[in-house]
Amino acid sequence: MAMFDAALAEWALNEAKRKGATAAEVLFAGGESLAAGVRLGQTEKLKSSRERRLGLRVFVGQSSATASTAEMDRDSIADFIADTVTLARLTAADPWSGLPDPALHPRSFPDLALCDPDCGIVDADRALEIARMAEAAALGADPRIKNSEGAEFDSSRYGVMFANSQGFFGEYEGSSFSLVVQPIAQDGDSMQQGFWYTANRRFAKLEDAEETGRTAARRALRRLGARKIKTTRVPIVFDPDMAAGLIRTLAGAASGPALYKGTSFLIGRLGDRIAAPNVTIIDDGTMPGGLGSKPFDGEGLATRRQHLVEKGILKTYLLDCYSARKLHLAPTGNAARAVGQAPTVSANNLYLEPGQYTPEQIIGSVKRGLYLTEQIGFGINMVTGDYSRGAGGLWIEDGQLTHPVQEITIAGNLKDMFQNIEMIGNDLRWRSSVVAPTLKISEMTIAGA
Amino acid sequence: MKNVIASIAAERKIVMIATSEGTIAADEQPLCRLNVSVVAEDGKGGRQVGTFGGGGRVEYQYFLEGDRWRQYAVEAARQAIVNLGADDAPAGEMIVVLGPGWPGILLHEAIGHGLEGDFNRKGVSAFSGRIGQRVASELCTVVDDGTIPMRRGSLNVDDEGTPTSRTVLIEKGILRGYLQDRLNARLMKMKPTGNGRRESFAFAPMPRMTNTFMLAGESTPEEIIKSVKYGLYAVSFGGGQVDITNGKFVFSASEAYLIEDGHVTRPVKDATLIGNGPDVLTRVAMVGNDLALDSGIGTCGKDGQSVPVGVGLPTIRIDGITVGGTRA
Repeated sequence: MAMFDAALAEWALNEAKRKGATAAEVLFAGGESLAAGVRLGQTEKLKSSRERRLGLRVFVGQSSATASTAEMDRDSIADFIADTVTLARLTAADPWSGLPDPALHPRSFPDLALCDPDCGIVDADRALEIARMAEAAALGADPRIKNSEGAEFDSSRYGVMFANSQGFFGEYEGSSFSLVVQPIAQDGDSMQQGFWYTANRRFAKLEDAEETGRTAARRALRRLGARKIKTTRVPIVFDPDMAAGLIRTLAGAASGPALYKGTSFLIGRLGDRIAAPNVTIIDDGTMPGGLGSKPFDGEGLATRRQHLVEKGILKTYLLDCYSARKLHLAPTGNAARAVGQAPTVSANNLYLEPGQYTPEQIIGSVKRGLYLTEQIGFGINMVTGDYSRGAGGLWIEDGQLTHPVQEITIAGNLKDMFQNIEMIGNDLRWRSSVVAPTLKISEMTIAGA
Repeated sequence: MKNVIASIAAERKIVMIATSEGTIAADEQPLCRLNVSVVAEDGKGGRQVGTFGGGGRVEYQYFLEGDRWRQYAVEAARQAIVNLGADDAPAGEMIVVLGPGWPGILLHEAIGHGLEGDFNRKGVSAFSGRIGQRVASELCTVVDDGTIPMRRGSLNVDDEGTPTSRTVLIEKGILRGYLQDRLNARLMKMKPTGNGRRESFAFAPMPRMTNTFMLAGESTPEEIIKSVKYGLYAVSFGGGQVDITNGKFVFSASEAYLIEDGHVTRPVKDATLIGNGPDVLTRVAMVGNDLALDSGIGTCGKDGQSVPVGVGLPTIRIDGITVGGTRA
C-alpha cells in the first residue's frame, strides 16, 4: 500500500486547520490504466494513462468548499489549501453540511478482495492479442459478420486514501479488467451492431475472449431484418441487462439528493409497498470481489448489505450524510466521491434477488409480447415516474421468440411497472455492479407504426 | 413552486496545440452556463418539473443583460406549470411539428452523429457511402458551423489546431459532407473540417459536432400549425441518443401539445420520439422562416468524452414520426 503518502494526508489536514478550517477531509485517488483496441485485426487504439489527484473539502463552521489539484509538493498544496479555505469563507453557511458523526466511523475494515493478487496492468502486446482473438472469433462466427467497430481490452489499477480531521483514516486499492467486442452484421440493406462484454476484478475470472466475441456476433445477427410493429399494449420481458437498468433507475429515485430536491417519485414512500411482493432488491457494498464493493464510502462510513426493497416494501433510501441530515434519517454508507467533488450518492453492488423461473419459462408464458434487449434515450421523468424510451428486441408469439423489432418505444409509469412485475428469472449473473435476472412486466404501451 | 435549484457553471480553458508539422495554435475558451430547475405541485398530489437554462462562450455579465437570469427562471416555472396540467401523450406514428431552437437536437441525433468521419471511414454508419444521395426533402439544408461568435459549440480552432468552419452537411436534401478530424480526413482522402475535438488533454481527438442547424425556409410558424389536422407540437426537449449503425434515434419531448384542426390545444406529458435518421428528413413537408439557435445548454457525449455543442432549427413539420406516449 504505497500509492500515497499517509504522512502527507496528515500534514494537509493539519495545514488546513492552521489556515483556519474547523474541519477537513482529504482524498487521494489515482492509478494507472491501459486501453488497447483493435479493428479488423489492426491496432486502432493504444492508450495508457497514469494519474494522481488530491481532493480537499474544508469547513469553516457550516460553510464549506471543495477543490482538487494534481500538484503533490508541499508548497503547492499549502497554497491550494489556503485558496480552498478562502473559498469556504466566501460560501454561505449551510446548516446541514459537515463531517459524519465520529462515532459512525468504522475502526477496522473487511478485506474485500478488490485487487487481483496475480495480475498487474496487462501489457500492451497481451491486451492487443486478447482483443484481436475476441474480434476474430466474432468475425469468424458467420459470413454476415462483415465489419466491426472493433474490440477493446482495458486494464486498470487504482488506489484511494481518505482521511478527515476527526481521526478517520482508510485506504484501499483495486483492479479491474474488461473486454468489449462490437461486430457489425450486414444482410442486404440491414446493418446492425452487436455488443458484448466481460468485466472482473480478477484477470483469470474474465469470460473466455473468443466466447465473448461469439456472443457479440450472435447479438448482432439476431437484430438483422428488424421491423417496426403496430402500436399495441402487451407484456414486456426485460432481458437481464434491461432489468438491471430498471433497478438502477429505482436506486436513483431512492437516493438522497433526488429526494430533498423534490425530483423523485419515491418521496414519502418509505415503508410503503412500491413493487410487487416478489420483488426484493439488495444493495451490498461488502461482497468480496464485487465490482461495486468498497470497505468504506466517500465520507469514511462503512458500506453494508441492506434491503432497498424487501418483498415489495421500500425499506431504505440511499443516503450520504448531507441528504440524511436534510431528511432527518441516518446515512447508509452510500456516499460516492470523485476527487474535487462534494459527495453524491450511489448504490454499491445492487441486485434484484432471483426468482424461480427459467428465462424460457418467462418467455413461454407470453402469448404476444416483446422480449426487450435494447433501449435508447433518456425518457424517464423522475418526478412523476413517467417512462417512455426507444426500444428494440424480439417479438414473442405463442411463447416463442420470432422476428427482431426496432424503431418502437415502450411507455408506462415506473410506479405501475414495479407493481406489475409478474415473473422473475433465476438467471442472475454478476457481470457488473448492478445486475438483475430476466423479468416480466404484465403490460406496457408499445408505440410503433 | 415547491423547490428551486439554480446552478451556474463557468470555466476558462486555455489551450495550446503544437504539432510535429509545425502548427502552433493557442486559444482562450470561456464557457458559462446558468440553469434553473423547479418542481411545481398542484396541491392534489401532482408534481412536475420544469427546466431552463442558457449560456455560451460568454462571461457572467451575459446573464444580467436584459435580465436573462429572470427569463430563465420564469421559463422553467412556466414549463413546470404547463406540465402539471398535461394529459397522457398519444402513442403511434403521427405528424409532428417541432418548434424553433433546441428541438434542433433532432438534427444532432438523426443526422449529425451519422456524418462524423470516424463512423464513415469504418463504414459502420447508416450514412456510409451515401454522399450525393437524397437523404432529406429539398426544403432541408443542414450545416455545422463552429465559427458563430459566442455560441456554446463554437471554437476558433479545434483541438488539433485546425480552424473551425461552416460545413454543409445536407444541401436542399442532398448529402454533401462529413465532419472530419485530421486522422479520419487523411484516411478518407478528404479535408479536415475543424471538427477534431477532445474533452481535455487526457483524451484522443475525435470528429465531433459544433453548432448544427437547419437553414430557415419560407413558411410562417402559424401556417405550419394551421396545416395540421391532428398531430403533436413539441417545443422543448430533454436528451437524445442514436444507434449510428441502424440509424434509429430518439429524443424526448419535455413540453408538447396536441394540434387539433389547425390549433394548438392541450399539453401532453413527456414522450420519446423515435425515428430513422436517413429517412426522417425526407418527411419534412414544411420549413419555417423562424430559425433560432438554442439558448446554450447542450453537451454531447461520445465514447466517454463530453463536449459543449449547439443546435438550431426553424419550425418544421414532419409527416410521420413515432410518438412514444401511453395512450394507444
